[in-house]
Amino acid sequence: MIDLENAVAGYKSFRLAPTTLTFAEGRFSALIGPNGCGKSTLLRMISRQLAPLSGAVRIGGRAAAGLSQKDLARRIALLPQENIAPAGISVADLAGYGRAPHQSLLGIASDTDRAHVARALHRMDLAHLAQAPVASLSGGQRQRAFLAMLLAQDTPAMLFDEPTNWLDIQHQVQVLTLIRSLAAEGRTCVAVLHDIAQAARYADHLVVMKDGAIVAQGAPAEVVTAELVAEVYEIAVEIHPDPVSGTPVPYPCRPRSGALAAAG
Amino acid sequence: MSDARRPEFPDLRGPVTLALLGVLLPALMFAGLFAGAIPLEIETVVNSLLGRDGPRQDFIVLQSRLPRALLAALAGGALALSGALIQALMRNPLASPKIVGINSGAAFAVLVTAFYIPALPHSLLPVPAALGGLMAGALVWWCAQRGDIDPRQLTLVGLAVGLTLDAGVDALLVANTGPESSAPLIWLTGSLWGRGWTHLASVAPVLLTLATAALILAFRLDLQALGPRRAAGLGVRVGLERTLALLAAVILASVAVSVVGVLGFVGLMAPHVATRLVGGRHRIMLPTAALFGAVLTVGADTLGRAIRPPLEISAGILTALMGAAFFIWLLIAEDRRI
Amino acid sequence: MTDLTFSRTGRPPRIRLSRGGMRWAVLTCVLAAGALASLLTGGRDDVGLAQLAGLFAGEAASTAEQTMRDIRLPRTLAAAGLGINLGVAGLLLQAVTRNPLASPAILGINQGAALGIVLGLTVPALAVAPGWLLASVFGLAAACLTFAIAGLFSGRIDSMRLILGGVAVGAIGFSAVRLGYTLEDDIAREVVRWTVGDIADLRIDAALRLLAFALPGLGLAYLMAHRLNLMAMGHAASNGLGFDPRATLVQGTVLAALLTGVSISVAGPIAFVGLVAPHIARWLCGADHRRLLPVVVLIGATLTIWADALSKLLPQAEEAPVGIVVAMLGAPWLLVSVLRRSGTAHV
Repeated sequence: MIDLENAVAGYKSFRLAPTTLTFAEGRFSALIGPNGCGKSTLLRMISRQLAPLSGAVRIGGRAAAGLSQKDLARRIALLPQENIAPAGISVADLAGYGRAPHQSLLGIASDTDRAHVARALHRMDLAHLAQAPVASLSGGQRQRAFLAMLLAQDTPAMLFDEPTNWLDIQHQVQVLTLIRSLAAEGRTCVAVLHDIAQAARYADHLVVMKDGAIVAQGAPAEVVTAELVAEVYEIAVEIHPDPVSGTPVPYPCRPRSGALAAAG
Repeated sequence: MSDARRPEFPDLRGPVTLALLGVLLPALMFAGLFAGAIPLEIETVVNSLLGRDGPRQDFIVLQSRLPRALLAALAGGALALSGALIQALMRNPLASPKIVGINSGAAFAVLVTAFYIPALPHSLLPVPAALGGLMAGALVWWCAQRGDIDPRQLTLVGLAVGLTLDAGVDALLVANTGPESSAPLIWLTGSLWGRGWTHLASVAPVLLTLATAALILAFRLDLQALGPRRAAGLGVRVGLERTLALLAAVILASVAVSVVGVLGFVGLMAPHVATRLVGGRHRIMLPTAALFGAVLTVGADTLGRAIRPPLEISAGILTALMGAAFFIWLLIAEDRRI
Repeated sequence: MTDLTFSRTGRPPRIRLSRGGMRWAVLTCVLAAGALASLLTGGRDDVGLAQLAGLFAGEAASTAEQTMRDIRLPRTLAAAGLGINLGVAGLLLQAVTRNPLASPAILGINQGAALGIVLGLTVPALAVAPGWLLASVFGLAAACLTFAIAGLFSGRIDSMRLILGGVAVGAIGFSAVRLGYTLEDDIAREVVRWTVGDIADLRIDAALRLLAFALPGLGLAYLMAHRLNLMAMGHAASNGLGFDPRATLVQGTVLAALLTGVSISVAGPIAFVGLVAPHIARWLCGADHRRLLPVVVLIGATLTIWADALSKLLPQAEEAPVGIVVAMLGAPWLLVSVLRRSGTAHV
């Protein structure tokens, strides 16, 4: 469980508003909002990559500030948007790095470590590519390799910054389903998603942000309304239920004037 | 473990390469005992080594060539490790001890000492060299600190400091061309001439300790390679580990340079060669780089003495020639394989 | 930073004469001051402002005026030409390789040229050829070798292989030169002097040769400027924008090699300008190559002209070769600019 209490963080050019928020265990929370609204900044604050300027961040009841780097890494893991793939290593090597917080400085893998890595690779559908060099993978496969590293890290809280980038629809669905099942295992899952419909369909809890502040939060059915989308994203939409899952899906309205109207 | 997996061929490149290099190194060192101004027979060398009766040349073998071979191996390995550490920290394949200004700092310090404190005996030159290298490295680190040891920042600062010191070296050389400039010049090209047990004893403890530490902690470099954000997310104290690694790299290179002069090419090329031979995992790559650096330096020193005795061609010249040729071959071979 | 006024037609932004204009003015003044300093100092005390003015008046009558016309002026022009050629070459290389460490020195040209000089001094058959020819031929041969290693001829070239290939070729050239010293003691001094870069003996032919390359070189580089901007976004993005980054890499490198080759052939390797001038230019005016090119021209010329002036002004019987002075001028600049940048907040 992750607790924020009046937490403020940011850079010289951009700052979050004081945020009080709880991400519960066993829940998949999605952060949505327009570009530049501070979703990634919030994730970075939660994972302590950005020190809070005031207020408190608590992870599992303990103040994040008081944890050592290694302790923190055993409780919370973040998959960033951009991932650097080192040269000359295999997929299994990369996934193995995820076990680092559970190992000594020397990084010697135990049987438990190897088991976690194997499970992670299997779950991400990469078992057949375990010995392949990371450099030879496609963009989507590489994203899955980094997800495998995250899974191997096996933390009670997992944060994902736009995890569906680069993936085709099959793998997007797989990742979102994966996050749901991780939440079902009792973990606290928070993901920044850019697709409102996907967020509404797969997440239990939506947090909508704009200009560094939280505008709304709650169950998708309550949060995703035409008024909210218009206010936050500045676009007129109609909300219709998804034919498969019944969750709300926004459909852009026909524009009334201008070039876009002619295009229909 | 998953059941439906094909048995995979374990990656044997690492162990095989290490084994080959591990055999090559002592062989070259042994060969180095024959070569030199006075070529020796195998029997003579073996007699001296084992203390047997018969034709011996104890002084040459035991006091001159043996420590020289050991020193060459140690210095080459240290420079290679330093280069590997710096390239990992800077995530720039052009990085080398030279880039952190070490070579330039050491060279500058040596020349200043040689020209302006002529009273200092040449055998003590390693001291100002080591100090110069350390100070240049410290200066670079301090300047880069202000920006959170960002690799790009470190690279640029190191370059600026190195170039300033290089200019200083050039200025000193031009201002002081004369007979007394030849010894420092030779030293600058990287040479093991006249190195003996005292030199070895003065640097071996430091180099061996740091090298061992680097090899044991090689795994940490793998995590650093993921970038500071992800590494921090895996529990790495990025600033601390990077500083320690940089410090180790600076000391390894400074001390090595202080005793054998500037063999800059070793630090630049050894990590590249090692990665292309055995992959990027530092647990295997670091020892491979160290062995390759040692083999290169010992081979260069031996060859330099064997080509046209009594003329001795500096090891530094040959390390650059051989290392470059080998590297070119690797680049082209990689081209053909794909 | 200067305000940019992007015109809607996408033409290069016009520089508003506010802070941007100030910087141009300051740069130009510094350059002019350097040029004057260079022209007015030298071996003879009687050659000064009057002689410079006299040049524009008409025929050079006195020996003092002839000195100004035949020795001082060409030397200063040559210095400017060197600075321009090397600065542009460095900018091109840093742009196409996307690496701030790139410079004309990385292609191995400097070392190849030095090897040519050494061979000219040691191999009797080559002793007849003039130094500048040997330097050019071997320098360009080194560049070709670098290209070959980097896969230019097999179509697999990329900037990393280019850099690494250049480093390898450079190392071979450098070692071969040092090997030469070992085998033949007496050439060392001469080659070291050449290696440090010297313009003391340059006359009008050298100056003209440099400028003959500089002007079209600058023009070609300017035509490439837009593509150089796009290169910064990476290969994939570039392809998506409809131009082939590989072709740009090749063209930029070849142009840089030619500009460097002519500079070396005239004055020996002055490696520092090509590395530092682009950094300073970027610090002053950002990353748009359409603006960077004229700025790097100014900065390169300023560096070398001031180095030339200082090398004459320094109180030593023998002038310090310009290569050293350039380095001593430029390095602190680079350090300052790098330190300044480190103070900004990083996101």
